[in-house]
Amino acid sequence: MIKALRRAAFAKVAFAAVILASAPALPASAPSAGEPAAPMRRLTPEQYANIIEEVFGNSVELGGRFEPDMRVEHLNEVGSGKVSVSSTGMAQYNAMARTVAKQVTHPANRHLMIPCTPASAKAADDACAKQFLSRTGRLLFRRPMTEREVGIYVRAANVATASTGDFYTGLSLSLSSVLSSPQFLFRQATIEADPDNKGQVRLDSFAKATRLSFFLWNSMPDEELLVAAEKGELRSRRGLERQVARMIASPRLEKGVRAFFADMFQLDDLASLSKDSTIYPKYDAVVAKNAREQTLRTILDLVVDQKGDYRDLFRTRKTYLTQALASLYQVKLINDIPNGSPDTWQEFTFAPNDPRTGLLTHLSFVGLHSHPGRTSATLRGKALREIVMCQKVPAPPDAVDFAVVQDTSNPVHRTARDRLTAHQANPVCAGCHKLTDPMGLALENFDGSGAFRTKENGVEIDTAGQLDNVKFNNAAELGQAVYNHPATTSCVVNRLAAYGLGRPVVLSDREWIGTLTKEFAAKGHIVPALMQAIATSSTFFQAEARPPITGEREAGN
Amino acid sequence: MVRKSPITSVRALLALAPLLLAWVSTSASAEETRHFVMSKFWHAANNAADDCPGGVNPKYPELVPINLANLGYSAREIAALLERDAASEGGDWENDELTQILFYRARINGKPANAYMHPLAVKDPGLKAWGGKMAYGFDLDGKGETPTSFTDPEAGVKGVKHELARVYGCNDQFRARLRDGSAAGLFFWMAIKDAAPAWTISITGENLDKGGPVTIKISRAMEPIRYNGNGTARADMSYRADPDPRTANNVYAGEVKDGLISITRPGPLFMIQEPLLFPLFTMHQFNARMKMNASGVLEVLIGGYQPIDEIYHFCGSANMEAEKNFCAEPPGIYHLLVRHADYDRDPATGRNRAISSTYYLEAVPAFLEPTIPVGGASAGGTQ
Repeated sequence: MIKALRRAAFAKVAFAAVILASAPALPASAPSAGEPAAPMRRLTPEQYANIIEEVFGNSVELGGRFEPDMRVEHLNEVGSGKVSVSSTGMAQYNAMARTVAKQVTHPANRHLMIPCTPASAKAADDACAKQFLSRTGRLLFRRPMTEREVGIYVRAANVATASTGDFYTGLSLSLSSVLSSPQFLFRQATIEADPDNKGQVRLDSFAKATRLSFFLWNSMPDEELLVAAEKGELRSRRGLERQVARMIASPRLEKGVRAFFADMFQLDDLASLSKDSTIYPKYDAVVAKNAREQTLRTILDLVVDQKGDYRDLFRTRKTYLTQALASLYQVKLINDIPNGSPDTWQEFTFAPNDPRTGLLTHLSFVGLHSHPGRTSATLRGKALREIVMCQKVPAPPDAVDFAVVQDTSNPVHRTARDRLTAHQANPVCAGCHKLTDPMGLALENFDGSGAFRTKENGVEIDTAGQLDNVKFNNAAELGQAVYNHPATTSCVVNRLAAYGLGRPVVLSDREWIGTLTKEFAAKGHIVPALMQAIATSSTFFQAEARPPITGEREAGN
Repeated sequence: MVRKSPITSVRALLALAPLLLAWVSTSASAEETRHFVMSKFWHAANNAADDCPGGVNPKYPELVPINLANLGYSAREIAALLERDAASEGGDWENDELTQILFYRARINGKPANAYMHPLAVKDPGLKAWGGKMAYGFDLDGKGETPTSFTDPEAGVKGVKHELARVYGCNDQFRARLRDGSAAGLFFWMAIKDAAPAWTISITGENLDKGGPVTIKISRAMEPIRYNGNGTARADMSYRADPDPRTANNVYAGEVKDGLISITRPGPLFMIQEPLLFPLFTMHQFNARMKMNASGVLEVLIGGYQPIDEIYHFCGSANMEAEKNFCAEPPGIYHLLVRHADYDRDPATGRNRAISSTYYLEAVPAFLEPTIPVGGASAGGTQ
């Protein structure tokens, strides 16, 4: 018994040693303390899941929870460079690592996932452990493991094998160490001396490949990209362009486009969006999940499949619905499948006389930017300004009296427009509300859960308004105004650039952003083409993150 | 007089065909149809406190000694049986002495028989009937007010025939206010709602908001009703119409007047419901009255003469479980049904086989995809 406990304790020590030993190894040319460091970005939950699926297959379950992402400058991807891992988060990563590793080494899976068989399943086998760990490690670390790293993980596997008497248990424990290491959990922009610019550094080839793959595919580099990095092909303009063109043409681009637009439109917030079920009985967690997917499918269809004009997202009538969403939108959608089956996705085009046009009329916009029990023209207008047009709306001053705005059963001010007009009698409030409310009020036909209505408290809703002096009468015309507004174009360029760089766009990026914006507009606002232009630019591969200068505005506005 | 040959007539009709088609399509386009799916269903009760003089009928524990006495057991034997039953662990009903006696308390040619399958072979325990004066429903026989008829408490209709209210009214499991539903009604509805394909109500007319003649169709969807996260029925869901031709004839002439939608020409109803508890739901002289409430829910009363065996199936098929939990004393209920049946006299026995009854249901707006009935598009028509 004591012997067994000693064995277990030894295995634990060996496991801990592996984690400690796998701290990032800085190259000789790394900047010294105090200089701007190349950023590390924590994997998002989706990226983590994508990698596990691509390395081990889609049957592997993660079995854990992720720490929340942090949105910085409107993007989680920018925030991913500013977050760490808490002790609770680490415990979750460890739990997931062990869960995944157990499945990989399970007798039912090992012949598929482990490329070799040990001489004895009860004893250590250096060669087989090395083969598996170096091959898997190359994918998980997005670069070849160093000899030292391989040695550590093989030794850890051997120690665990010796104490447990099972090769696969040893391998599983070692693999879980790999999956818990910062090299896996963080995307590291490793740098090297730049031979063309003395005293300067540049991203090494694997960091370039990683940056490309996460930007375009929201996942790790594939084999071809890793090989291209190993051969140095990404150093040449031609080699880089060839790889980017291949990646843009790949079906995996959908994952990248999904990730970007989910981030830009803040669709992850739908997961925690709650509504008063008495007021909005059709809204529930399933509908919220469907709403996110509806918008993403609409975007993918227009942006990737049709190679359409990005701005058409604000006036397209074509979308994708489930039966539950269709009932919220009050349209017929027949499900020709056996009873009890999950809802299916179907392409759907709203009729020309239907008030629903464009993303702004999706539940993912009108519902997300509303309160739990009422609409909010202000939140909707603010979201339009900040998310779609990249314009800043000042925060409300302290101690504002919102009593009239919140009183949806006010007998005098019966519509949101009436209540907001009354609220704006306070001149302190009026300034900002002028920026947001005229657009938000155009969406008042959609209640807080996104359902269509023509009246509020028995009074006909007036949806007329104006966006920067362009007048409109309803949501469809607002969509057209957004389509025409130059900020709509420049904003998506800004956001996509910041998303790729992992930091906010700063003043010194102005020229680059200006060029990208012009080309994007000239070529028909095609998003994959914009991604291609960003991914082949030198700015995209800058080795050093430049923090935004205080007071700088986002370029292009 | 020159008679046109059949061929000439056909030619004339063919020549007129485009005009006829145009007229038909114009007529069709002027009409609108609104569909609803049933979201609640139970018998229409209108009970109030103390409306059963002397109290309601005894419940299962009190009925056990009565039923045993009816079987000839002495007071001492009954006490001993109950004592043994209390001491037993229960659960194994096939070997449970008391359960076996009660289950087989019917007597056919002096031999024990299943009481639930042969309720008339059980001595009538003498459950009392309800004697209220206000009950929901319709003047089904058109005879107006009679000494035994009711007055509808909301519509004010006189001469209402709803004998089922008398059968159920003094049994706790069936007592309720209209919109609350009784314990039995709720049990039944909760049991079938997620499994049985939803009933549909389709109302067609030229101006459903203003009023005028309408056509009312009662049918079924292929899917059960869907619910919101908070348990309420989900409005505006899409369903496919059931192509079963047996429901195709449930089409009735009606009218919209003062916001009330009603059938003006009653006829037979044939519906298929949930296989276990209510496999068939048929009515003679089917009638309906409905209105939209403030929440956008259609509140519907349906009534007609319903075969008592179809009603009893709900209690009889669940046998002892029904007796213990939700159906009062099933053989006693059957005796009441027989006593109060008021339609469809069986010439062989001289007994009525159907009873006037009213049910309350709610329905929410829905989309309904038409399907061609099995057997062809021509199946069905207005009553």
